Parts: sequence; C-alpha cells; structure tokens
Amino acid sequence: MMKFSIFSASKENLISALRLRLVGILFLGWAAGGLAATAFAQESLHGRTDALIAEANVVGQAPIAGDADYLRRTYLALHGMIPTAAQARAFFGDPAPDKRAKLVDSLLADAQFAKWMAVRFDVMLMERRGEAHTKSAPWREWLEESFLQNKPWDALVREILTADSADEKKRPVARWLLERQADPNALAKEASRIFLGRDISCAQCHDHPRIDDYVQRDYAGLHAFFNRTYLFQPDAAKPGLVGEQAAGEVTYLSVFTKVGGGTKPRLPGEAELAEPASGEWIVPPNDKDKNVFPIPKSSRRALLAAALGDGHHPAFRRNIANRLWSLVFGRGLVEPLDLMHSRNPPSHPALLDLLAEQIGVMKFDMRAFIRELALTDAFQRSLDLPELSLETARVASDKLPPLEQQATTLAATTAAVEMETIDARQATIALQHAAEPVQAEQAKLATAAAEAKKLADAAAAEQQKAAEMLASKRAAQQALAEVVTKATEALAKVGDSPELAAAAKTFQTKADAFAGEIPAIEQGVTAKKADMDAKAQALATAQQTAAAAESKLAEATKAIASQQTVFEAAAARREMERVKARDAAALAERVKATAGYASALAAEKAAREAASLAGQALATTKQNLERLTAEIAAAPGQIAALEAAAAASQAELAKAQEAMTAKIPAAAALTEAATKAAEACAKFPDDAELKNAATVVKSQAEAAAADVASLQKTAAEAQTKSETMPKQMADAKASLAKAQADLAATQSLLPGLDAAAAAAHTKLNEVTTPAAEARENLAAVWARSFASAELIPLSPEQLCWSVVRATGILEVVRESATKEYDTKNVMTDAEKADPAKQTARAAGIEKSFRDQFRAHEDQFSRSFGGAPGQPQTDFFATPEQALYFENGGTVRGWTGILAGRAAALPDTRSAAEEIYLSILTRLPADSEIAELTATLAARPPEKKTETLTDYAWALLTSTEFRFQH
Amino acid sequence: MKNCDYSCRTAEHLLSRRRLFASLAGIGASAVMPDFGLFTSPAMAAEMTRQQKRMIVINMAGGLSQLESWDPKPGTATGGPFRAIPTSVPGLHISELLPRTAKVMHQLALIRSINTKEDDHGKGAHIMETGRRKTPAQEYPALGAVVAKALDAGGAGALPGHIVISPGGGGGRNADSAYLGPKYGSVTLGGGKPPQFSERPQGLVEDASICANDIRRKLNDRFALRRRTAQTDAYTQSFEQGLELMRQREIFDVTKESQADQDRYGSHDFGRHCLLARRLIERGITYVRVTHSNYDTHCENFNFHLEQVGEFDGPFATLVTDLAERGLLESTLIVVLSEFGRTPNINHLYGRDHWSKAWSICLGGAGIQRGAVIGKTNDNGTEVTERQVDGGHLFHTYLSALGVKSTGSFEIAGQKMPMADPAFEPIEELLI
Repeated sequence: MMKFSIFSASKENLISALRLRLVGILFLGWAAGGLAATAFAQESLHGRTDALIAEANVVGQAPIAGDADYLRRTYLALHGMIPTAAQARAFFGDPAPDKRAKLVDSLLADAQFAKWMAVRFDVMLMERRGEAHTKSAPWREWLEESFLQNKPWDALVREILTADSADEKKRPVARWLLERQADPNALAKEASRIFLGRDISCAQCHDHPRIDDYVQRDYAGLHAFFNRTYLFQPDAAKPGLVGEQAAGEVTYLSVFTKVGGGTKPRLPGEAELAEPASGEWIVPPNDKDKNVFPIPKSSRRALLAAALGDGHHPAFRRNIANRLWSLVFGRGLVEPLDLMHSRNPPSHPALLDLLAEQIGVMKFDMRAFIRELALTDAFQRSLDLPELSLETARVASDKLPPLEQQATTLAATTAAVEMETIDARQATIALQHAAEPVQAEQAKLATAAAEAKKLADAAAAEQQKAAEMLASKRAAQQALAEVVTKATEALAKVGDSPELAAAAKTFQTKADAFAGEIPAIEQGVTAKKADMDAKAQALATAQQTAAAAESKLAEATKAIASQQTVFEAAAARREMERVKARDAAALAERVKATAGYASALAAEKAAREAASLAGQALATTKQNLERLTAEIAAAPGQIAALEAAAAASQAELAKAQEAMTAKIPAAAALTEAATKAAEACAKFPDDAELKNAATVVKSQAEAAAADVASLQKTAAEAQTKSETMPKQMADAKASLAKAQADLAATQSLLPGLDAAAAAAHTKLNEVTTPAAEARENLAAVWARSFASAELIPLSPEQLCWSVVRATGILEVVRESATKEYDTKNVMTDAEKADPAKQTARAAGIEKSFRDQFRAHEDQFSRSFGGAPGQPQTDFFATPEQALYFENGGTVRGWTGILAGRAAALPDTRSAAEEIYLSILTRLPADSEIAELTATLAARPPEKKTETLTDYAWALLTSTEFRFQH
Repeated sequence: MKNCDYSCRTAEHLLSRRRLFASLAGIGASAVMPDFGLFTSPAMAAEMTRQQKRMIVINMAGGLSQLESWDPKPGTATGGPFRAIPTSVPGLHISELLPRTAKVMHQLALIRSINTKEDDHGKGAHIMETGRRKTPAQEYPALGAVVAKALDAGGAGALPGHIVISPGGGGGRNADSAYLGPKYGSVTLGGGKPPQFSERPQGLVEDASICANDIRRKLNDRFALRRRTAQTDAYTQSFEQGLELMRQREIFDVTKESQADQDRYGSHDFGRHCLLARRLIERGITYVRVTHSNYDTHCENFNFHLEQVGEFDGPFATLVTDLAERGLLESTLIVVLSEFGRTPNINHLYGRDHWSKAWSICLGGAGIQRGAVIGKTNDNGTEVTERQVDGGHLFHTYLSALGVKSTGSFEIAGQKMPMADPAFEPIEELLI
C-alpha cells in the first residue's frame, strides 16, 4: 500500500496513494496521533468506527473537545437537555480519566434517556401529525415504556405495523397507521421512508427517472402489504380503526413506459412472498350492521411485520443505523435520511456497511448501539478548528492542483460511465418498446393459430360426420338392394303376389332413392375433405408463423435480458466511479479548504500584528505629543519662576552686602580693639581685670568677624546664584524652543501614522471576513466528514427542556407537583413504608408534572417545530419565535428565578458562575465577570436582581444556547 | 437609555453588523439570509408597493349561496325571493343583495361554472385553499404560502408575507405551508389584532429589554468568533426582526387609519378587517385573507343572506373602489370565494344545503379581465352548461393573474414540486 508515486499507481490506488502522500508529507503529525489512538481500540465498534473515520480524514481532525462542550453535548444527545450547574461542577471537578465513558453509561441508565428517546422517535415516526384518531400522549408513553425496557428496533417496528386498533391497550400503538388515515399509498410511502430510508413516492406512478433503484415494481410490492388496509370508520364523528380486507391485489402501470403488471407483497429487490389463501374471514363484514369490525384470517400487514421485522433486509438495517447515527451526531452518514439510493452514496460507505452489519449482530439493541456511537472520538471532537500555519497553507496549495486534476478526471470518467448507464437503460427501454409490437404480433398470431386450429378441427369433424353419413347411407342402400334382390327372388318363387310385388317395389323405390342420394353425399364428402385439407394446410401455416413469432419474441426477451445485464454492469461500475469521484472531489475540497483557511488565518494574523504595531506607533506618538504639549504649556511658568528666583537672589545679595557694609567697620574696630587689648594684656600679664576685658573684647571681635564672614558667605552664594540664573533662563528657553520644534515635528508625523493605523485596520477588517468565511468553509467540510463537531440547532423539545432546566423552573414545577400530590393524597406512616404506595406516588407526581409542562412543550414545538407531516429537521428562525422570548413573559419570568438565586450569592463572581454554569454549562471568562461587574456598578444596587435577570435572558437567547456545539 | 451606559447600539456598530451579514450571505447550506431592505427608504418602499403583486382573499366561510349573490335565478322554482339587479357591466345582473358591489362590477369578473364535486366543508375548503383534492399521502401548501413564496423577491423583512385575519384566535406561524417551510406559514391576526407577542408585556420596561438585548448581541458577537453560520445569523437576526416588527407594529393597527375611512368601512368586524387588509396591502404585505362568517345556512337561508351579504356588500365595494382609486387594483388580485355554493333546492326549513356542482366566485384586479363572466349554469342553476371549472383551474388562474407561471415548480430539497396541480391549467380567456 505504501506507494508514493502517482505515476506507478493504478487508477484505483491513485486516491489512496495521494492520501498517503498527504499523510506522509503534509499532515504526518495529526495522522500519527490518530493512528496511535485507534490502534488500541480495534476490537470495539467505537474503535473501528474511529479508525474508519480517521482513514477518511487524512487532512486532519479537530482536537477532542473540552469538558464543557463535551458535557453539554452529551447531555443534549442522550437526555435531550443541558445538565444542571451542580452536575457541571461535579463533572468538571472529577479527575477520573474515564469520566466520559462513565457519564455515557450513567446517562443511558437514567430514565430520562427513555423519555428523550420517546420524543425523538415520536418526532421521527409521526412528524408532529395531529390527533384525528389517537392521542399523542399515550403513544409517547408506549414509546417511553419500550425504551425503558430497551425494546429492540425490530420488535418496535413489528408492534407498530400490526397494532390492533380495536384493542384499547394496543390502540395507542396504532397511531402510526391511523394518523396516516390507514391509507394504503400513504402507508407504503411512509413505511419505505421511515423503515427503509427510501422516499419512493415518485415510484407510485413510474420508475424514478434519475434514480435507478427507485422502481415502480418495488413500490407496488410494498403497496401490496397495505393494499387491503383501510380506515374503518362507520361513524365519522368517532375515531376510526385500522381495517383490513381479506382479499385484493395490486396491479401497476407506468405512466411513462406503459410497462406494468401485478404483484404479491414483496420487499424491494426480493421475491414475492407466499401467503395463505385470500378471501377468508375470522369475522366477516356484516351488511346489516356496519358497526361490525371485520377481521380477515390472514393479514398482509402482519406479513410485512414478519418480513421487515426479522431484520434481514439490508435497507432496514442501513436505515436504522443511519438514523441512530444522525440522532447522536446531528447528521446522517446519508443525508437526507430518507434518500438512501445509488445516486446519494453515504459519506463513509465502509462505515455504514459496518454499522448496518453490527446493529444486526447486536440484535437491534438501540441503547447498546447508541453507547458505541457516544464513546467514539468522533463524537468528542471539538467545534474549534486547530491553528494552521502558513507553511500548511503553502504545502496544501502545492498539493492541490494534482488533486483537483484527479478529481476532474474522475468526474469525467463518472460522467462517461453515467452516459453509458443512461444509454444502456435507454437501450433497455428501447428494446422493451421494440418488443411490444413483437409481443403483440406473437399474441395475434398465436390467437390466429388457435383460431385456425379450431377451424381445421371443425372441418375435420364435418368431414368425418359427412363420411360417416355416406357410409351409413351406403350401408342402408346396400341393405335395401339386398332386400330387393331377396324380394325379387322370393317373388319369382312365390309367383303372383301383388302384395309381395308391392313390397318389393317399395323396397326398389327406396333403394333407388337412396342410390340417387349417394352421389350427392359422396360429392359433399369430397368437398368436405377438400375443405378439411385446406384448413389443415392453413393451420400448419398459422402454426409455423406463430412459432416464428414466438421465437422472435424469445429472441427479443433474451435481448432485453442481456441488455439489462449490460445496464446492471454499467450501473454497478457507475456506483464505484461515483464514490471514487466523490471521494476525490471531497479530498480536493478539503485540501483546498485547508489551504484557504490556513492562508486566510495567516493573512489575518499578519494583518492583526501590523495593525497592532501601527496602533502602538500611533499611541506612542500621541503620548509624545501630549508630553511635549504639556512641556510647552509648562515652560512660561518655569521661565517666570526662574526670573523670580533671579530677582530674589539679587535682592539677597544686595541685602547681604548692605549688612556687611554696615557691620565691617564695627568688626574692624573691635578687631583693632581686641588687638590693642591683647597688646596691653601682654604688657600687664598679671592684671586679671585687663585680661577679662581683653577676653570680652576678643570674643566680641570674633563674633563680629564671624558675622561678617557669614554675611560674606551669603553674599558670595547670592552672587553665585545670580550669576547662574541667566544660564538657567537660557536653558529653559532653549528647552521650550526644542519642545516647540519637537511638537511641530511630531505633529507632522501624526497624519501619516494615523493613515497607516487606519490602513492597517482596514486591511485587518478586509481579511477578517475572508478568514471567517474560510473558517466556516473548512468547518463545514470537516463537519461533513465528522473531523470536527457540528453546530446543531436544539430541537424544540431540547430547547424547551433546556430552558426550564437552566432557569430552575423544572425543580419549581416538580416541587409544586409533589406538594399538590401530597396534599391530595395524605399518606399514613404505614402507607409511606409501602413500596407500592411509593411507586404510585412517584407515578402520580410524574403525571401531574407532565400535565403542567405539556403546555410549554406544545408552545415550543408549535413555534420551533416543522409543520405536521413534514420533515422535522429543517432549521428556521422567525421573528415570532424571537417575540415569544422577548414579550412572551413566560421565559422572562423563569429567568427571574435563576437571577434571584444568583443575586443571593455573596459576590459577583459567584453570581456570574451560577448563571453561566446554569445556562451555558461553562464558567464565565474573566472578561465576562468584569463586564457583569461593570454592568452592576452602572446601575443602582437595588436593581441587582433585575440586571441579573437581563443577563440570564440574554444568555438564554444567545446563539451559544440555541445550538449544540 | 438611562441606567444603561454599556449600550453598544451605535450607528457604526449597526452598520458593520449589516455589512457582515451581507458579506457572509454566501456561507452555509440553507438560504436563510433576510435583510432590512424593505424599510430603509420610504420612497423605495412606495415604489416597491406600486410594482409588487399582492392578493386579498375574502373567504365567505360556510358556503355562500351563488343564487343570493353572483348567479341569481329570479322567478324560477329555485330562485328564492330576491330579484336580480343590473350592474355597471351592461347586461350583467347580480343579486339585489349586492347593490354597492353592482356599481363596481366593471372592476371585477365572475366565474359561474364551478364544479368542485366535493360537498364536505373541510375537503371543499382544501380544494379551494390548495387547488388540489385532499390525499393522506401528501400535504400541499395553502394558497397564501404559495403566493407569498412565488412573489417573494428574496429579501424577507421582518414582516410576514402571509397574513390571515380571523374573527378570533391567533398565535405564532400556522402550519399551512407544507413543504414550503414555516417562513411562508400564515400569521394569524386574531380579531384583527397585531401578531401575538408583538407588544411589550406590562411591567417590562423598555430599558430592560434594551439592556438585555445589548448583552445578547455582545454574547453573539463573541460566539461568532468561534463559529458563525447562516443558521446562527438567521437566529441572531430573528431577534432584530422581532424588534423591528415591534417598531412597525402600527402597520397592524387599523385605528391608525383616518376616522373618515373607519367610518366608510363600518365599525363591525368585517368592515374593520377589510380596512386592515387595505392597510396591510398598502404596506407591502403580499397576501391577506379576510374571513366573513358564517354562510352555512341550512335553515333560514334567505334571512341569513339578507343580513350577511348586506354586511359584506358595503365594505367590499369600498375596498374595491379604494384599491382602484389608489392605483393598487392593477397589482392586487382580489378574490371572493367559499368552500362551495348552496343547493338550488330550497329545503323545508327555508334553507339551502351544500352544493359543489354548480357555483360561483367573484374576482378582479391584477391580470383579470374587468367585467368578464366565465361559464353558465342552466335556468334553475342545477347544472353547469358552459365552461365547467374545477378548483385546480382557479388556483392556476390566481397565480397567472399575479404574473406567476402557474405551470412552474418550486425546487424543494432537490425535488421539483409543481406550484399548482399539473392536471389543470389557467382559465386563459379570463386573463388580460
């Protein structure tokens, strides 16, 4: 298998070779992870499923989803509603590595699984039809009970097809038949759609013009199971019963080709079924009493239940495998679910083959089958696509041309084979048409030969009759002649006897008369003989022509059969080519989408960086501008301050100099005095008085000198200061000038930077949308191949149940139902201990609960569901739905309960967590908490609950809530 | 906007939102990309109103007597007590119970040779509503759904195209569009009141709604960074449409019409509903059905018709006159129909029973020839004698009169679904 050269690969291997090349070169990392993971699980069905999906997804798969998306998705798929905040907290906090498998098992074991399956199967089987003859609730209860017992699909189908509408207990099950008015054509069409996945309504009147395997004889064969069924409704005011006649056959005729015939009941592609003799009754119809419900001895619907319900038919198995797959994944391997046919092959043919085989092996155990699907990696894939590099884009782009070339070539081959098939089919039809006159001629000639035989036989009989008559005449004449002879002899002997003579004469006359008649008779015989011979000759000729015509017809029939073989061979080849071409195109599409997304993503990233840089440059410049502007604004003040300071220093200097001028003479005098005193002291060393006086003078002189010195210092300082002032002033002025110059320069930069930032932003905007488009494109392509999760709108019931669960109204109603029951049914202690009483209580509460909720469920299914009898899978959003949320009052009222609970929590973070977990099954991001905090701060504190209600309402109406992801 | 400083409803925001919607229109499988186009410019809206084809159906529920309306047989054993009067079409007479309608007959046409062969109310109504006989094997869309889809220019605004004004009841979209999908299902204006939930409930202040919707938009913008499809866009837009519908709620409010007009149409339900139909048609809604009830006169046929047809005559004639004067009749098809007619034989309770063998409807406007009469019945009205017509022919004729090729098909999930029963064709001689 490891062929890496396109040139050495045969046509059949080309695709897989290309895939392997891609695996080897481009996506080795992703694929290797996938293969390693699947190698362990080869044995289990989910492991084999993942292996088959990974095999097809060589271009890559999304990573496994995080706990939040996974938990919400699994609850929605298996319980039809989101988990509670408490359940989410418990799951998020559980460190067990196998917690996902445990979750699947615990959800499947819960009664809610049965309740949800009952809804899904009700919608699938009934498509929201009305209640003309039966009520929906008991039918749904029967479904729920069936799922509680884990009734296999084949058993469910058998019960549906044979439900006895006259039996009050079984009557709810007859809803499937009765709400289709027990109409044979409606039932044939619906049985084919719902149980075989084939909407063959076209084939009621003719073979499908484009789908070779939707043929009228198959429709007729299915119709024959229902042709005796009718709506028994003697009183139009009362609900009807499903009646069945004891006899009646199906014939069909194509409105196009006029080819037709009759058929006994038969499943598509199979032989007609043997059935007991028709026309016998257990309870015959009563002409006198129209209220008597007739019961035939043998039922053709029972025959269908047995034939379909034994699960052997491939379409029956493929249909339920595909429907259960779609139930878990939100998309079938074949879409639409009821158009499984040769022109619409499954996305993963081998996988559908495997699943169809396995559901049979599992004896149609739906719970076990769903479990396998829920355990797959495919079910756990993330909605988010992985980051892809520019390198990926480049490599993928390089790989694309040969892949596209290949896809084109295969498409051309397919088209050619398609033409061959169409030609072969046309040739078959032409031969059929050509055979029509041959058949007519043969029939005509065969009739003619039969006619000729009749004539020849008649002529032979005539001739025989005439010959016999001649013989008898001759014998009579002979006898008479003998009598005459004898009489003549006697007369001669007797002599004269007038009597005898008369008698002889009479005999003679008679004999003569007879003899006279004979030639005419002889002539007649001859004529008859001739006629007989002629007719025999004609017969021989007719038989010869008839035989010739018959052999011509045989030839024509043989030619048709052989042409049919040619057609079937061509059709088979076409199926193969179609799948190959489809796969090649899908691969090219995936590579192209990958390249597109990766390059768009890279372009977006680059543009985002450029925009961020340009933005930063602009911001820096703007900051500079602000700084310079501030500096310039501050400069005059600074200069003024400097001037003031200069003036102050001058004043100080002047003051010091003045003081000095005043104090210097005194200081000089004192110094002189001190000197004189010292001299005097020296002359009179022992004169203490003198000494004291001199000391006084000295200290005074010293003080005065210090004073002067200090003043000198002050003056010097002031001098220095006033000398630096001019420089400072000059500096300040220079700074101002510089700042002004800088400002001008910066300002001139600004337009350019502004433009650059705007351009970068425009560029970013330009690439954001293509990037989003490329993402959605790739996401769609990946989702189609189950390489990533799909965004699936919640069904009306999922939406209703999730809203009631998120808001907490579910518990409120349950409590009120419990209270209501307990008030009405007060139990003694003994009764409380009785398990039977407890079961009855639980059932009573459940019933009261359901009654209270039915109105809401109905409201949602009316607003969000499709029309009765129409497919229920189409998504649509109307302003009326929005207005129900906006103004309906109910939902807003419910959100108040949650908001009240959240408002009672101690801080905003806890409140935000409670609301986000309850509604979106995830914790809020920090930015979301900050947003809520800001919102709360912007409104008065007494409006806290109101604001939280607004928040809860917004979360409930968000796309994140409306869809499963 | 007080107490709500976190609003993001700037013009710029809304603008970029629209641009994004437009640019993403190509994404996704289903075509669910409505826009706001219809209401952006009053001038444009007015122009569209002039060109766009529309249809008003007046359903005479229960079965109007053809003998007391469009095909009178005065002076015969079956004719009943009322006379025939001349109309604005020379030579054409209708029942004297319709004096005002008689004056506008030159704007209208009659088909007097209908034989639908179905005397059951439900099945008869089904034939008139879908142009086909009821079969359990297939559901067919109602006339209004077919017309709304066939005339849908592609951009669906907030307003529904298929409106049913009923004497009572009302709810969301009705399930009468079969395979055409809920978008074309009818919206009931029960008692002529605006659609359900289009009014803010008491106790909910507008501020709260504005705040909550702002939070919703922010959440949606954030989620769009993860995944954004045609479906998510359709969902987020449905809320904007809902708000738009609330802003335009006045369209459904007949009391906004002038007092003079309200007086002209009369204060009874039927008069108000006819005026509402005019209002809706003038504002670009494609199909409006008004019901007048109840004509199922098994006893006292003549007293009932005297009263009922009398109530019908004035508002109907006023509606026809207004549409003509306003230039709207050129583009608006108006049809007065029933599920069947009533027996020529008068029963012992002075009633007439169900009769589908030979009955009449009145229609006019759009592509219908003015003043035409199609078909004839015999002298006592028991049989069609000329140009027998079935419900299928009528259905084809309505579509053709609206400029729709009635032999065309809708493409539904890859399958071609004929718009009208292929076994029939339009009444060509009635079309302009």
